[in-house]
Amino acid sequence: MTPRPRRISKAWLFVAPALAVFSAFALLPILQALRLSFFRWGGARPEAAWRGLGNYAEAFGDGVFWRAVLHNLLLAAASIMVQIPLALFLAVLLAAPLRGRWIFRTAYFAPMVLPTAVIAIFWSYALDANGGLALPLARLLGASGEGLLGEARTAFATVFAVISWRYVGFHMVILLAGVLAVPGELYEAAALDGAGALARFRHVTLPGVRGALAVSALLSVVGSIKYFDLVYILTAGGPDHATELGATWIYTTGIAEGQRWGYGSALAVLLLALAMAAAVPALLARQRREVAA
Amino acid sequence: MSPRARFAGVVRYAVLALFFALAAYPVLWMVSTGLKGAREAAGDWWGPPGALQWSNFAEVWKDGGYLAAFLNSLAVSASAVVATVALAAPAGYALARLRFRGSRGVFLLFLAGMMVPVHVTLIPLLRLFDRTGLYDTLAGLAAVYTAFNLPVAVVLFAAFFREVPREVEEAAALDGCGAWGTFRLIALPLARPAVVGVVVLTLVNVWNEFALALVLLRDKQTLPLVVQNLRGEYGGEVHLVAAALAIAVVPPLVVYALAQRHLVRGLTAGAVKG
Amino acid sequence: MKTKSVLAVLGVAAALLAGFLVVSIRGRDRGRRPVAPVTKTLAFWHIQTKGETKAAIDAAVARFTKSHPDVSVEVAAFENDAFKKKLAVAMAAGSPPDVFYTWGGGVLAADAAAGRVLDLTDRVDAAHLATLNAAALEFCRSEGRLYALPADVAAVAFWYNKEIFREHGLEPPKTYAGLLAACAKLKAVGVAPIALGNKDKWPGAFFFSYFALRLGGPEPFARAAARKEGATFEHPSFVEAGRGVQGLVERGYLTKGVNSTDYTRMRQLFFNGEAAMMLMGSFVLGNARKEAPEGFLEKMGCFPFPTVPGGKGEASLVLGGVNAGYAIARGCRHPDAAVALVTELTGAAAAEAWARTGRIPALAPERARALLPPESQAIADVLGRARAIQLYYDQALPPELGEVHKTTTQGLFAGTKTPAEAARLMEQKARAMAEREAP
Repeated sequence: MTPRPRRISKAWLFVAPALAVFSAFALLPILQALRLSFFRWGGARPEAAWRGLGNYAEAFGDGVFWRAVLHNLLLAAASIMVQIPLALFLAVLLAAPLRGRWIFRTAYFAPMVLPTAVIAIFWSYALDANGGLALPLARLLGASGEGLLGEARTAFATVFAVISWRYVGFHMVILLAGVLAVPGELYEAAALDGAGALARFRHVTLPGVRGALAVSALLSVVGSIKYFDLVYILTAGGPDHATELGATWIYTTGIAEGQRWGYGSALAVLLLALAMAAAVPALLARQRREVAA
Repeated sequence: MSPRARFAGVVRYAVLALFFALAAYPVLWMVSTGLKGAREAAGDWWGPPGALQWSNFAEVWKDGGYLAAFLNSLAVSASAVVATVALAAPAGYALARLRFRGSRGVFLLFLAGMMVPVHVTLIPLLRLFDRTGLYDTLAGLAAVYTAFNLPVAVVLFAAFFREVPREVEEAAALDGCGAWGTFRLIALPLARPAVVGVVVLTLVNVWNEFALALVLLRDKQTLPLVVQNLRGEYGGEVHLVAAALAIAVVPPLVVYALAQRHLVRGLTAGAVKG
Repeated sequence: MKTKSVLAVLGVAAALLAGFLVVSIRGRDRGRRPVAPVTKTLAFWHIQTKGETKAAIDAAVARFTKSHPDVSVEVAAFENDAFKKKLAVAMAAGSPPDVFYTWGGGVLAADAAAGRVLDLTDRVDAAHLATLNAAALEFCRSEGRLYALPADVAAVAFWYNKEIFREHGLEPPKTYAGLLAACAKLKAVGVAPIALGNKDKWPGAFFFSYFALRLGGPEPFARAAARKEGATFEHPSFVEAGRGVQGLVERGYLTKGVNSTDYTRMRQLFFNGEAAMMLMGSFVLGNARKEAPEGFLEKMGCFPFPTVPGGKGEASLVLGGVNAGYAIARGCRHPDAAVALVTELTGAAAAEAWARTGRIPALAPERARALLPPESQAIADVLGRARAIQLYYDQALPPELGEVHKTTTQGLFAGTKTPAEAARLMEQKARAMAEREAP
C-alpha cells in the first residue's frame, strides 16, 4: 500500500507547473482586474478612487449589459442546436472512405485557419447592402434597405450565420475524431442484426461519440461566453446594440470609447460569475455521477 | 454497386461539394480579387479577374514585413502549443485520477480561468511585462498564450482521462508502476485524441490572436498584427488588401492540408478501446 | 518506446524553439542610428503606416535626429483602431510612448485632466506657435493650457461629382431646400444622391452636428457640454437636428445600408460615381489620390453645408478638427528633446510635405493655402471663410459621452430612436456623468 502523504505530494507535482504558469500569467492579472472593479478609474481621472460596490450597482442597472448577456445565452444555445448537429452530419459523411476526402476536410476547417481580417473583409463585401452577394437574400427577408448587417432585425442572425460558417469545421474535426474511434465491429454486428443506416447511426455512432459531443458542447458554451472577434469586426455590437455581446460591451465601455477600466472590470467579473453559476453545478454533477459509477 | 448505393454516393458528393463551396469560396475570392487591377477590383467584385496582376503580390510582399511576422507567429504558436500540452496533460491526469485534497478547488480555478474575456487582463499584463522586462518578447507572449489556454486544455485532458478504464491502471500499479509511470506508459499513449484536440484548439486560438499581441509587443509583430496594419494602409485599394490577405492565408492552409492527414492517422491509431 | 521517441522529438523541438525565441527576429526598421553617442531615447508612436504621409513623418524624424545627434527616436506606426487601443492600454498601465499621435479635443482633455500629458504652454517657442492655425491650437488646449501641437486641420463639407452635376444641370446648392431639390432630381434619374457609410458611427454624426450648428449656432452645444446652468442636450436645435437626419433617411436620399457600410466602402461609392455627393472631412482628399480612378480628383468639387430655414447659425461656420497632432507623455524623461521633436513635426518643412499628400497642414490659413495642391484649394477656401471651426462633437465631448452621441445618431439613421429619445439619452448620460464626478 502506498503511504498516503507521498501520494498527495506526487499529485501536486503533476499539477504544479500548470498551476504556476496559469497563476503568474493569467490568474494574477485576473485578480488584479477583480481588484480594479471596486474602483472608479479611467478617462479623466488621475488616480483610482474607491467605489466599493458602486460599479456593480451600476452594472445591475445597465440595460445594454443585460441585453448583451441575453445575446450570449442565445449564441450558446444556437451554437449547440445548429453548429453541432451540422458538424456531426459532415463528420459522418467524411468518416467513411471516400475519394479525395482530405480535400473536403481541409476545406471545412479552412475558415478556422483564416485570420479574422480575411473573414471580416470577405463577409463585409458579401453582405454589403449596395453590391453584395447576399443582396437577393436580403431582399427576400425585407432587409434590402439597410442590408442584413445593418437591419436590427436580421443583424444577430446574420452574425450567427457567419460565426457558424467559421466554427462548424472546427466541431467537425472534433466529432470526426470521435466517429473514427468507434470500432468497426460494432457497425458490423449491428448490420448483422438487421439495422439500417439510420438505426446504426442512432444506436452505434451516437453513443460512441458522446465524449466528443460533450467536448464540443463545452467548447461551444465557453466560447459563446467570451466571444468577441467576429462580432466586433462585423458590427461592433451594433446597430444600436442589436448584436452586442458581453465581451464587446466590456471592450467598448472599458477600453475603447468609454475608457472606464474599473467599470469594465466589474462587468467582466459579473459575466464570469454568471458563467460559473451556470457551469459549475453542471460540471460538478457530472463529476459526482462519474465517481459514483 | 447497386443503383441505390450509387445514388447515395452522388448525393453525398453533392452535399460535400456544396459545403466545400461555402467554406472555400472566401479564400478563392481573396486570391481572385488580389489578382485584379485597381479599377477592376473596385468596380466588379464578383467576377473573375481579367489580366492577372501578379505585381500586386510583389508590391504587398515588399511592404509587408511578412516573413518576419510569419516566423514569429510560428515560433510563438509552436511554443505555446508544446507548453500547453506538456503542462496540461499531467495536470488533467492528476485531477482525473489522483485523488488529493484541493483537487476540486484547483479544478474550479481552471474552470473560472476559461471564461474570462481577455480585454480586462490587458492592463495588468502590460504592467507585469514592463516590470519583468518581458515587454516586446516572443517568449513572454508565448507564456501568456500558454497560461490562457491551460484551463480548457486541463479540463479536456481531465475529462478524457476519466474515461480511461481503471483496470488498466490498477494492473500497472500492481506491476510496481508509480503514479508518474502509469501516466507516462499507460495513460498518455491512450490520450492521443485528447492531445490532438488540445493541439488543434490551442493552435487555432493562438495563431489568430490579436489583442494580446497588439499590447504586449512593439517592434516585433505576429501575423495578425501585420494583416491589420495592411488593412489600414491599403484601405480602399481592395486589390492590394486582398493580395495581402491572400499571402497571409495560404501558408497556414498549406501547412494544415499536409498536417491533417497525419492528424487523422494519429486520431485513429490511438483509438483502440476495450 | 514510441512515447520516448515522441518525447525526444518534442525535446529537440523545444530546445530549438527556446533558442529561436531568445535570438528572435526584429520586425521593424527603427530609424537611422545617429553617429554621436546616444544618451537619450524617445519612443514615438503614430498611425501613418505607409505611403506619402509615413514618408513625411520619417523625413521630419530624420531632420530631428540630424540636428539632435544625441537623441535616438524609436518610431512605431500602427493602424488607426489598433493604435487607439494600444495607446489606451499603455497609458493605463503607466508605460506610454514619449511622443504620440493625438486628435485633440475631449480625449486629449481627459488625458490632461488625468495628468497623463505634458503641459506645453510654456515649453514651445512662441514664434513657432504663431505659425500654427489658431483654431487648431485651440482644439489642443484644455482649461487654457496647451497639451499638443497640431499638424493637420480638416473641415467637413459636401463633396460632389462635377461631371454628374453637369450631366443633370445641377449647381452646388446654397440652401437646404436647394439640396433637397438636387437630391430629388438625382434620385429620379437613378443616381444615389448622397453616399453615407455609418458603420463607424462618425460619418453620420457629421449630418447631425451640421444640422444643429446651422439651426442653433455653436452656443447650445458648447453650453450643454460644459454643463452650464440651464443648458441641456435636449435643446430644440438638437431635436430638430435629429429630425433633419431622419428627413434624409425617409426621403431615400442616402445610399443603402447606411449603418452597415463602412467608411472605406462609402468612399468607393462616391469615387465609383455610384453616388453624386458625400459629406466628409477634407482628409478624404488624401484617400482620393490613392483610391479614386484616374482624373477623378479634377471632377471632385466641394460646397459648404447649406443654410437651414429658420436657422440662427452663421452660414460660414464649419465643422472640423485636428486630424493629426502630437502630444508628449507627462512621464517623458527627456521633455526638452520631445518638445523639439514635436516642433519639427509641426514645422514648415513637415507642413510642406504634409500638404503634398493632399491634407491640410495646421499652419495659419494663408500659409497653408500657399502650400496646397489645386484640388485642395476649394476646401481651403471654405476653411478660410469660416469665422470659427466647431470641433466634431464626438471629439469635443469626453469619450464616454461622445460614444453615446455616436450611438444615438446611429439609432436615428436606423430608425430605432426618435429625435426626442436621442436627445433625452444624451442629456441623461451627461447628467449621470456629472453626478459621478461630483465628490
